[in-house]
Amino acid sequence: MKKNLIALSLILILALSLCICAFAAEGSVEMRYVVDTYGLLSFDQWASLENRAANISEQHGCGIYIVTVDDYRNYGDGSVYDVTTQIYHRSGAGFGMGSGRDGIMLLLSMNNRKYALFVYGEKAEYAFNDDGLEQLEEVFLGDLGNDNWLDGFSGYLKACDQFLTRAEEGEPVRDNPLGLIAIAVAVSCGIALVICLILKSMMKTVHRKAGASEYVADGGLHLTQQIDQYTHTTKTRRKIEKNPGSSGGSHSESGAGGIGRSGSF
Amino acid sequence: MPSQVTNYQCPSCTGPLHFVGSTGKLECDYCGSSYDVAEIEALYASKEEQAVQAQRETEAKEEQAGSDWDFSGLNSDWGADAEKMKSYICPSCGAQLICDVSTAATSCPYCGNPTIVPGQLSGALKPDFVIPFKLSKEDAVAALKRHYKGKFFLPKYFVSENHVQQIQGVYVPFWLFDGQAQGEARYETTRSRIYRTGDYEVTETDHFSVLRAGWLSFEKVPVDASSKMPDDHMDSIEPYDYSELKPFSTAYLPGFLADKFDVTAEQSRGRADTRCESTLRFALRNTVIGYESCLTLGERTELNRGKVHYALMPVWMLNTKWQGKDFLFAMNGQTGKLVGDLPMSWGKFWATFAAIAAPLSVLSTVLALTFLG
Repeated sequence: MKKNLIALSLILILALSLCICAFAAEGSVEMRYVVDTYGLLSFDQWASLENRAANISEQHGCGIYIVTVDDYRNYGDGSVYDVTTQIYHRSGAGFGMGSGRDGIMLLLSMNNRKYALFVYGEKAEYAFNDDGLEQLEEVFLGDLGNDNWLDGFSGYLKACDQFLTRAEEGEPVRDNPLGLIAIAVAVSCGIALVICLILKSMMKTVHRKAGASEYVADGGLHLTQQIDQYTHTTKTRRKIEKNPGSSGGSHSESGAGGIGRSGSF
Repeated sequence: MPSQVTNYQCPSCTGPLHFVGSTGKLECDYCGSSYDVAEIEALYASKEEQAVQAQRETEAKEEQAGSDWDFSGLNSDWGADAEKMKSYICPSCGAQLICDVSTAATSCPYCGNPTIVPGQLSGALKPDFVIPFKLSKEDAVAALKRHYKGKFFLPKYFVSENHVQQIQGVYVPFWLFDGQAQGEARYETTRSRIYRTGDYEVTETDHFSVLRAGWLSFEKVPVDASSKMPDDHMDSIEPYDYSELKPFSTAYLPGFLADKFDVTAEQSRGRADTRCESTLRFALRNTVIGYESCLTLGERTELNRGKVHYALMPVWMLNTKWQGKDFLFAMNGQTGKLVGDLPMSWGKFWATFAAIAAPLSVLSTVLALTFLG
């Protein structure tokens, strides 16, 4: 019963949005890709983003979606990622392109500042794998965190375009292993150098002596004074950075036939 | 300027006697007899007395006879060299030897007899102690071969191509300084604890002012007294086992070179002072325990200088030459500790570096990509 109500509310909201578009003064734009139910964008901003998203989606045959809501819990059950998958798969909503219903959806839940990315379809998952999604969210999370909605969404669309173009060229965005390889090689060279320097030190056995401990007589050191006096205490405080994996940051998700990421912004 | 020269000859066959470290006796190479040092010393003391008497008688006769020869054409002026050189006559074959003034005992290059020059070691120059050689020339050569082993970066052909140019057993003069170092040092130390309060990590550091004062006694800190001997080589073959220090006797010298000091005790004492002071500072610092950091704020040391001894220490000096470069090795003639810097093969160095770094890089890259990638 609850689910039915929620489904009904979403359909109503989406329908309302479409109506708003249809009857807007500049009502030549249809809301299909940027569903700003929370109202973060002005009409011009929305229309511009909608057009860009539509062009990119049609050009690549993969839907690029942005959905903003007040609280994701009003639209489904489970986590923000679960609700995003539920919205994507809602019958009649029409998300996804082509027979595989390929698409990527960014959902922002504004009241609790949570977000989720959901990727569905073989073609979409080829363009946006786990490594790619991690790089993708770096493009827009900074702007969204600073409430620069237009820049954030614009960056998201631009990055999606680039990711899909690269996937079509057969070079999808993947994690660059060069940094990891460079660190591994540097550490290995460091270990090799230390070993070689130890071996080299064996070639030199002539050293001038600085001490005379071998010639100490009368049982060694005789201490005549030994004072350990407490003087003062100093305190330093350091704010503990929250573990990105537990809250605040983002993490990989999977389920509902696709993959994605979720977190806070 | 010839001086009286004596050697020790076998009472049985008159062959030359050598001091043998392993037995602690003087042995004859020809008839195989061996004698205690004290026995030979007593024998030669009486011989020297007789020789002095005979010399006096000869001189008295010469004075009576006069001389017909004209020596006015001969030049006895050695100039500045005279100060640095001295000549001796080998009592075995009669050869005249010209040596550095600081050379006290050597072998005759003509007959090979070990020759001693008592004039150089008498009076104020007489050492208090000597540590006799315990190890032979063969031991020194074997030690050098062992020294080459396990040296990964030794050039491939160094061992086969380099030849020992000279092996010489030398009694090296040392000043041995007794004394006491006393002083104090101030430190600032800290001890920390870390705890969490709310969203903050708090580091609480307790600071302490630490004072340590004390003294150390030193016995026979050695400083080599020969300018010809490299100080760092002599330092590196320390320590000697002083339980085997013997009162000086020339009977230990045959077969070895013996130098007299040419660096005075006053000139040497700076090195002994530095070593004693740094040992005291190190010992005081080592008593500051239980802290996480220790910063030295100030140190003060004083030395109560004690007795100075003069001793001869046994050292085998080995010279080798390779690709036109000299390599000097020194071995403690008592303990067998051998030191000497070896040449480096930089080709081997970088080849080893590559041989370790390359497979390690591959392995670490695979592991990194598997577990972190």
